[in-house]
Amino acid sequence: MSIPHDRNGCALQGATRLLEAISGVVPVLHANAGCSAALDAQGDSRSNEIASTVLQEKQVVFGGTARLREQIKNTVQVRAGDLYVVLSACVPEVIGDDVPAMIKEAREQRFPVIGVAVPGFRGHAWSGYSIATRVLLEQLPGALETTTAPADAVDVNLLGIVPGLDPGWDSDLQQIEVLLAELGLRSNRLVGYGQGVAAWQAAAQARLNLVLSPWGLEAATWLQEHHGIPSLDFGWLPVGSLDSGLLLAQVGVALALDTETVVRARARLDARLRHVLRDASARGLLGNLNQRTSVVGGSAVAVGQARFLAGTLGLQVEQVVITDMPPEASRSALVAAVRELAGPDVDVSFLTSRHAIALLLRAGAPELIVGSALEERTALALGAAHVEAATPVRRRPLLGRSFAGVNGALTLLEDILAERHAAAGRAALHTLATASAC
Amino acid sequence: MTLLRQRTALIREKRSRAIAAFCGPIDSLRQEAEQGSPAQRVRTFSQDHPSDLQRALHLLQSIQGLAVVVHGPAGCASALHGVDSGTPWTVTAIDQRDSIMGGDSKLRRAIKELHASHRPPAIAIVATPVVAINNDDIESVAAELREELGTPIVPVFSDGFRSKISATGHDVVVHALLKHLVPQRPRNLGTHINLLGSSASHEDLQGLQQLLEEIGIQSLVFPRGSSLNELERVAAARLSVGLEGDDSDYAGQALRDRHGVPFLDIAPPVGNANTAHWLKTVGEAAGHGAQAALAASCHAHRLQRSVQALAAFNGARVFVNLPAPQAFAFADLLAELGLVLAGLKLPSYAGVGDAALGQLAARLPHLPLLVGEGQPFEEVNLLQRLRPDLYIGRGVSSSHALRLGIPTLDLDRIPLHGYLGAERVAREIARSLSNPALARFLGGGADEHYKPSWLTRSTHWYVKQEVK
Repeated sequence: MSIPHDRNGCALQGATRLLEAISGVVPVLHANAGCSAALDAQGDSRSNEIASTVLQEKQVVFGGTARLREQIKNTVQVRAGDLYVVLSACVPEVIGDDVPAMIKEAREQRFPVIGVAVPGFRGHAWSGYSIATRVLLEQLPGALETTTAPADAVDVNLLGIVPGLDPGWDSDLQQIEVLLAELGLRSNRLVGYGQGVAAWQAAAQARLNLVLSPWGLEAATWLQEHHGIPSLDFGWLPVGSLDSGLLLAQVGVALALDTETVVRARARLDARLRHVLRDASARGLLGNLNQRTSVVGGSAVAVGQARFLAGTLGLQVEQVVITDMPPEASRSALVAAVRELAGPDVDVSFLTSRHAIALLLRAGAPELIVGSALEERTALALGAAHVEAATPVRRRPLLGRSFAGVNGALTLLEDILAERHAAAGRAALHTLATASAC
Repeated sequence: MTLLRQRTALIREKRSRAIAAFCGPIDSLRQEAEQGSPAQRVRTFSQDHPSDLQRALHLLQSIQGLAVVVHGPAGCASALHGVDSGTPWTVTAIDQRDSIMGGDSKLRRAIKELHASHRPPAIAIVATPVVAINNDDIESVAAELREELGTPIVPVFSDGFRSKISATGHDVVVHALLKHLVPQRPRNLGTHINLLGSSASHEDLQGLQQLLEEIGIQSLVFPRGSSLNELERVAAARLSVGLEGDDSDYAGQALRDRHGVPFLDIAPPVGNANTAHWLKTVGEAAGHGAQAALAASCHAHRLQRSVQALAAFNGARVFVNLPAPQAFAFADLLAELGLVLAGLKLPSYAGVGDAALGQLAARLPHLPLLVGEGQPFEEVNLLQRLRPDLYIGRGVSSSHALRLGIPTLDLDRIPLHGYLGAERVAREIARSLSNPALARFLGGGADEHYKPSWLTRSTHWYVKQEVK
């Protein structure tokens, strides 16, 4: 089935975004030109410096393995890195290049190189993250000499928040890290600021895998099977104190932590959010916060946001559209998570086509859409307020802001209030213009 | 006539002897060009850059009234994610099975669905690498559905690997538009002229159109931002003027050969002197010579205030990364502003630029020159030796220059052409040079992107003559 205005890209792009988010890891694309350059359109990739074989017609006809050999040999000369990861794209997979043989050859020369086959036709970018995360964990130990400095011990591996696809992913993971620190736990974020190969080596020594979307399950399962690390499938990104507290409670049970410590941490989260919301209420900012709302985004983001908007703020969440097309096995849990707080009648759909999503939103006619930039036109047509909190984000690029935890919940609320204020201003101007015309 | 008889446009390497790799002094390239054509070179280490597919999509989404079906894996349409031009588009999202068995049925369904949901005046089918390898019969699907749906359906044969030069994608689009959407019939000669541009911004082109209006010439821009309703008028123009050298050549030649529109290919109006020359030449060719000469003399002193504003930075050294015709002309603008060209980067170089190359090489024979799309690793190697005061590009990432502490200026949203362009560019240069705080801050930390050993090697280390 074709995808009008697709938002999920391809497996190669998801894998590339993952690798770009790890310090010291150098992606080497075995692809024709443009396979990563296309990521530039969303403005959150360093892709113009990604090494690539940039396959030409000659290699398409006669095979590209010699070109890959040359590129690997020269990449380790040019790009500084601890680990080089060859990502093979559609063309070498179609023409049948023997990429594993080239990786083996490079390893025999003691180059720290591994390979992941992520042709774009194999799945979308979320699945590319999923595959690449697992392969990285699997192949890393064999590729590295033992010279890397020993990593600090960690307690919890954070899996499932996808670089470049979950908005504010780096800040979101830092928020989860802060949250787990309430229980004295050390997080292993694996990607983002300060996360390098050592973090991935440390993953095998963690006490728990915390899975924050269906896209972290593959790696968690592998860690469980091969290193005996138990997994907690939380399923989404916690937004607000209720879900943040729920996360702490579940982690506490999984790691058999002192119950009193967890209860006190949950109370602190609630108290902080309650304090800010009471103050906002006293300033008259929270009046009539009961809009009929639709939430559109990837699993982690949409479910977490819908639960906060309905379960804490009291918005009338009527539609939730999950756009990352999670595996069938994960869907019923996501639907149940939304309905638990938003009510049994909320419509939860799994759609990726912008056109189909627009039709659904038009039928629901919400007053507020919390989604991506792709929903802006529909919001305008409906006269609905529109908050960008899912990828792609265009109006207000995310640099340090997060939508996770208590701080992230307040950020989301700030955006909703700002948009409500702007919408009221637009309405006043419209009235003024109409009156002057008369 | 011959260009449009082909299935699709020739690649730039064949059509205009274009090259995509060179590192060395500009005079070496001039000598190669003089002796015939510059040698084709390849890189033995390369970094990713857009292909003809991305360029084609970028151009197609600017065509008003056109809907787009990308026939390939979903990621091939990613170039359309970041823009919201209002173009209806869909991607066939072929999977592993389709990559083996072919995706014709998916293509048919995608076209029908797009047609049913948007009723577009025309639909372009864009081919992608997997489809090009599998040889999916796009033409047959287009012919079949053209009849069934009663809507023009245009196959655009991009492939991502035939050419090293991404701008081939512009030719491929122009070919498809002119071949399939502009009827070949006796033309009703209009009074307007065509401005042929694929890359310049809307604001930039609008500025030139206003300048032409001053001398009584109406103009249409083709192909960037064209409307399907206006395509017939493009074929009825009294003259086509190329703005972007090799990038405008395909449209210029095709319109001349098929529709008899004379084609004027001159240096782009970048800088005061070049703009005056451009205005007079176009004015004379369009029968408005006297008005053009008058307008040029009226505008002759416009840049003086900008030069004064830049006096404090007289002699500042600038590295320029622009398409070849704009880059060569930009060198003249820098001289007018009292600035010094320290190095040059061109995404590609084609034979049609020989005269401009020769003039610049005669003036600055040792000027360091890089040819290649992207490839920041080479730029970093060169920039850390040259240490220019400013890096100027257009729509290209320059974060690598900032990491070296070099201030940057992106002309993507700043008009470059005409008198207005010269003034705006001068103003932006003055601003960039007057407060380089961001570059100073970003250049302050360690940069561990490239190995120190690479930075001490010669810049052309990974550029080799192509073995046929």
